[in-house]
Amino acid sequence: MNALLISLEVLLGLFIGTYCIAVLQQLMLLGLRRVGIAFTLPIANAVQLLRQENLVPRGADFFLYRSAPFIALAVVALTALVIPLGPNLIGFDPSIGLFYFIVLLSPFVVAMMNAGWSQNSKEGLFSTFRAAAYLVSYEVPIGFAAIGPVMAAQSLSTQHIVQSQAGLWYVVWQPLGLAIYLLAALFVSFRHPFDSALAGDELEGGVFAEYSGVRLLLFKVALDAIFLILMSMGILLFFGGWQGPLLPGPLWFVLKTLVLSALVLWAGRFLPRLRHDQILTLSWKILLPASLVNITLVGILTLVIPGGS
Amino acid sequence: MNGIFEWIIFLSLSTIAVVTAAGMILTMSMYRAGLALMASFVALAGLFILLNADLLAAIQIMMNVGGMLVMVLFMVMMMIDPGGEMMWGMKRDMHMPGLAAFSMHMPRGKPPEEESTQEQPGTHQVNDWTCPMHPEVQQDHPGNCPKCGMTLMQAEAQQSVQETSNQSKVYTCPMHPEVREHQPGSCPKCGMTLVEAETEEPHQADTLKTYTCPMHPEVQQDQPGNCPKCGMTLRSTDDTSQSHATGEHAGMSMEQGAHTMSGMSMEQSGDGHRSHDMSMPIQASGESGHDMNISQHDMNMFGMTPRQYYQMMVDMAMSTSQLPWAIALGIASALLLIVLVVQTPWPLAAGGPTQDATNAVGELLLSRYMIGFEGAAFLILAGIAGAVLLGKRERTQLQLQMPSPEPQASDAGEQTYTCPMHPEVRESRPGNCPKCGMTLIPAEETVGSQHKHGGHS
Amino acid sequence: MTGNADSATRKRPGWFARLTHMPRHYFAVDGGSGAHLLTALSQRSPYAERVASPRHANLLVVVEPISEKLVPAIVEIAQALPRPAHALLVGGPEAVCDSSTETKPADLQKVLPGSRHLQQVSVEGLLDAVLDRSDESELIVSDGSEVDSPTIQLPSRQQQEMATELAVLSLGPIQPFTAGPLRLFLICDGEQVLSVQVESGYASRGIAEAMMQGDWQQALSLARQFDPLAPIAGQLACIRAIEQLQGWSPPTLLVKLREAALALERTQNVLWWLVRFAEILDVAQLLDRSYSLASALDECSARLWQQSPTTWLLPQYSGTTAMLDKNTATLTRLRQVAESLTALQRDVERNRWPALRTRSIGMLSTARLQAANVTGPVLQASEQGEGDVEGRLRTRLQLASGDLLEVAETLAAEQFLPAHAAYWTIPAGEAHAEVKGPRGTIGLHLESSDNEKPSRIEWQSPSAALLPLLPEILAGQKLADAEVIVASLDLAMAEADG
Repeated sequence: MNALLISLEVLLGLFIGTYCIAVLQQLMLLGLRRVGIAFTLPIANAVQLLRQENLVPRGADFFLYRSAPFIALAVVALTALVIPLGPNLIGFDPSIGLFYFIVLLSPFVVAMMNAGWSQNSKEGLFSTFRAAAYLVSYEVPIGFAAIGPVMAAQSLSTQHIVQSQAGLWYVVWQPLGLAIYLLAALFVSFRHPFDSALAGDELEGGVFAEYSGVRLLLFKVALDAIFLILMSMGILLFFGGWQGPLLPGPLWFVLKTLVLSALVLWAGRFLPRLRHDQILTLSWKILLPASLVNITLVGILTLVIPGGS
Repeated sequence: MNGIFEWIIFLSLSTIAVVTAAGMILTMSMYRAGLALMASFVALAGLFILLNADLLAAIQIMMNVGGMLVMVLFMVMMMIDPGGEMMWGMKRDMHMPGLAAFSMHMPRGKPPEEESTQEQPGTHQVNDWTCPMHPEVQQDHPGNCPKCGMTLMQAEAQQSVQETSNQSKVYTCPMHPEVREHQPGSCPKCGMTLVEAETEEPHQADTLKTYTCPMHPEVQQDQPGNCPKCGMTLRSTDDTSQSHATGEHAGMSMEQGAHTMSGMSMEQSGDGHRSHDMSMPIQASGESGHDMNISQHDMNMFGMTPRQYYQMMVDMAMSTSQLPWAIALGIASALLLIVLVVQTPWPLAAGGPTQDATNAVGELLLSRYMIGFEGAAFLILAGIAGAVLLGKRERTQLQLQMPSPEPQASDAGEQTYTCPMHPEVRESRPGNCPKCGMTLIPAEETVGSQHKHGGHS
Repeated sequence: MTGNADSATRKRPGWFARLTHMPRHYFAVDGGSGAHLLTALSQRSPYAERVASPRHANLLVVVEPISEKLVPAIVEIAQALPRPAHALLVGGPEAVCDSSTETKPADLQKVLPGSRHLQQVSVEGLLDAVLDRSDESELIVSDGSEVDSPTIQLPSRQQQEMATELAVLSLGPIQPFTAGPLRLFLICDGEQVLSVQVESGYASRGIAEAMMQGDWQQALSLARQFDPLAPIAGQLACIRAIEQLQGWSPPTLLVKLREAALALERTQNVLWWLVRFAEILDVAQLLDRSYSLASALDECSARLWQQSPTTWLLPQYSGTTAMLDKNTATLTRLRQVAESLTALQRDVERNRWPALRTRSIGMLSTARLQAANVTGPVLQASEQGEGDVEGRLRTRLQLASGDLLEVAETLAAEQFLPAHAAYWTIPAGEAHAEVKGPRGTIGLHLESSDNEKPSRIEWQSPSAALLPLLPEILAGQKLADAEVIVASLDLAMAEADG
């Protein structure tokens, strides 16, 4: 019963957080003078999609086409379990929380690939292989970027990592790790400028080309939710999580997450959509060496600085 | 956790693991097979979690999703027949039960004598064995060509074909009769060595044939291949045989279900696999449908000796004559493992893995063996930097060496031909690369073309 | 900092109305004359969002005229929309009167019965129609036209080389990379384009033939429609040819005013093209700025003239009262827009990020372009630099900025133009006139054998010169780059198909 309650609380928090991200995106598009529309439009879009017919293309893979949005949502819900909003405010706290989180990101990308592949269309197939490029692009950088905080905290538990930043946030002495993490996080969440697999005009919606109605809504929710979760994990790893003066911990955590999300979304406005081979180049030729440099630096600093962090 | 609840989870996960693993071998699609394998291992990861081995479960998922699925994807992208799906599906369509479902039966009986006792009409009694691709290779006994590894053929087999027909040679694939090339090489579909075929319509051997798709007549090209819209094998426009129009290719639809940016439906099978044309050139004879006795007709069809045909069937069987021994050994090993796991004759430690164990491992790695991490990171970095620097240096040197003038028209005897992809292949005459089948080009052109192929930025 | 600065929302509904106001996701079909209209609509309101896939849309917006050749594509798109869905037909310019059935525009009311029809072509009216849900009925598709499948020639073995498996990707005829419908068959080896087959003719209206049917006034009216996105250019070409036949030279001031109107039109085209290009590259900041500029310039242009230039562009006609509205505020605003455009040009040149997708792709040599009779910004970009996509972007902005500054100066100067009536007596003869259109030089060869109507009309279209070069320019490119390259060429299919 307790487990059920916790799960429901986590899902509720996730739902509210996803709505906040959707509002944030609308504010970016519309400007700060259209706040009212920014708050109501995501709900209106959701209702409109709920009313829309659920089409299944002829020849679509029976299981994969229908299951892809649910797999994406399931992954998102499972990863949300290890995000602590405050001290001991966590759904599931294994000692390997961070590792569990990183591992569970890959089925999300696989769900996107399944969505494209199962549609029985060429555009879907092209976008599937673009999503496959994402799969091989994000894994190594995000793993290496996360190793920095793990080495400093000497733990894989998300709560321990936050608690070990009581003296100094990791962003101060691991800025390279933060940059690598944020880029890899954008790969996973298919966020602009790394959204060629969803390329609206190029491939007619990419992996979502044939989806409509509720399934499309679930995908959009899953995308926003994974972005939220990745940003919140970034706060946990580099910005001290819920720590801050005066305000309660969970509120700090939410504020920091929204600010980081807004910054990332705003920075993306200046960049064009990158091709998937550019993403691969970025990942393997730039981020991988950079993350090795980061590990070297963090290791040296961890050994040299008394106390280890 | 409640005992009954645990049992329910255990049984569910176990069933999923077994069912999806079985599903892996029942599907023709490499992508689906990879996903099924992934699902099976994720279910196994769930079992690890039940045993409180979270770390192992996480590693299990990471390796299989991040590693194995990526491997599957690259196989789908790069290989002609990823995972042997085409061959496997072909055999399955021939309804081969039992062992033959995993591998064609080996040809029965003893291998025929190497020297052919069948007199070909109008041939000379020359005992030279030669390579279809390298006529300069001649020996007095059968074997494999030292240059390309092809099975040597009797010289009179080549001569008889030349004497009985004035048309240029046509080479075909034993598995894909629609593949017809004017030069020896490998089949573009399955990679098998092409063998000479009789041309039914000699006048058309030299004329350009047009190949079209039975379902999409608007697709036309001058060489055999697959339809880019639906994946079906293209047929010559002279071919009067009927296409496999129904049920042979997945996902063909022009109706509401699919569209393109224009709305014009041009979809193809989502798994992007090759033709599902399962026609077999060899009709098995004998009591069982898959008895591979050699028939005179089949041999003559490909101009092969019985020994050559036998060799070909051994290749196609994708098996070994030791298969029964291999199966017995596998079963014995599996039984031994099961007995060991059940009986566990070694001393057991008390209790199972705990959360502390993972912590302890983590502490050891991160505190005591930090130097190891640092060293490994440094070495990898040095390796990458070195590879990039050396690669640049090599490219610079190649650029400096690149000749600027056009290749001179020289005597045929002095001209060397090489493969753009395999510069180590050097031939004195034009033809196909024995490694990849690409058309050989004059050796002076290769430096420029290397740059052309290198630049996928 | 962010977002669209446009404040064109006239109605401010309450919170409940906003909450229950259903957004419209529309899929736009442009028959060749609606590029600017649809581009303006796409950024106008957050409640009207243009989608890339018909599966995501609940409204089909079709800008007429539509040729018969395009009807099967529209039928298929209409069938692909998930229900409930609706259709809105937007009447374009006056229908081309032509007896030829090949170029006769299709009657979409028969194909999509029950769809709403809108005659008005302003963006505000269109937006109101899109958002208005009253009096609309479910989309019904009545035509089951057969899809026309052209022959696709696959590349030869030499060209294929190590290609593993070819895929034919059909891009279009409805696609966002050209202004108007164009179909491209991209024969790809994975993401690399091996060869391209171009199929045009979807926006063909038979303008030249139609011009020879009616009288001179009708011919002039049809000349406006040669390029619906640049009506002044087409009309001016016809006027110049007519005045050549009449042997009349316009006074300098009239020439300047005509050039000013043409230059304004060129700049408008460049800005709307930039909005489309920024949408394709998905650079939000560039999109916002270019949209603001394009809207501001449209507003300005509407207030500059007493009457629209297409009204007073007549043979030998001049009259200051009918032409320029000497509104100081408008001229000041025009100057501000010109300065903002110059600032945008500078920022684009300094900003390195878009170069990730535009540099060193889509290049053709100057000699090759000249041999193909290409004119305009594409040729100029090649002459000035590498001629890649980035070069075309910079060249267009440079030209537009220069044009707008010149216009502001010309219109600000004190000027008096004596009135002169239009003269419609056209002697026999032949004439050739060229105008500098937004995409290049538009040429018109005109022959007259009597006073009644032209006897021979031949148009030279800058977009038509680029079409045969597409296979060459796209071969070997990556798929994503191929689309950006096509967008950079700014092809207007109505002008190319004629």
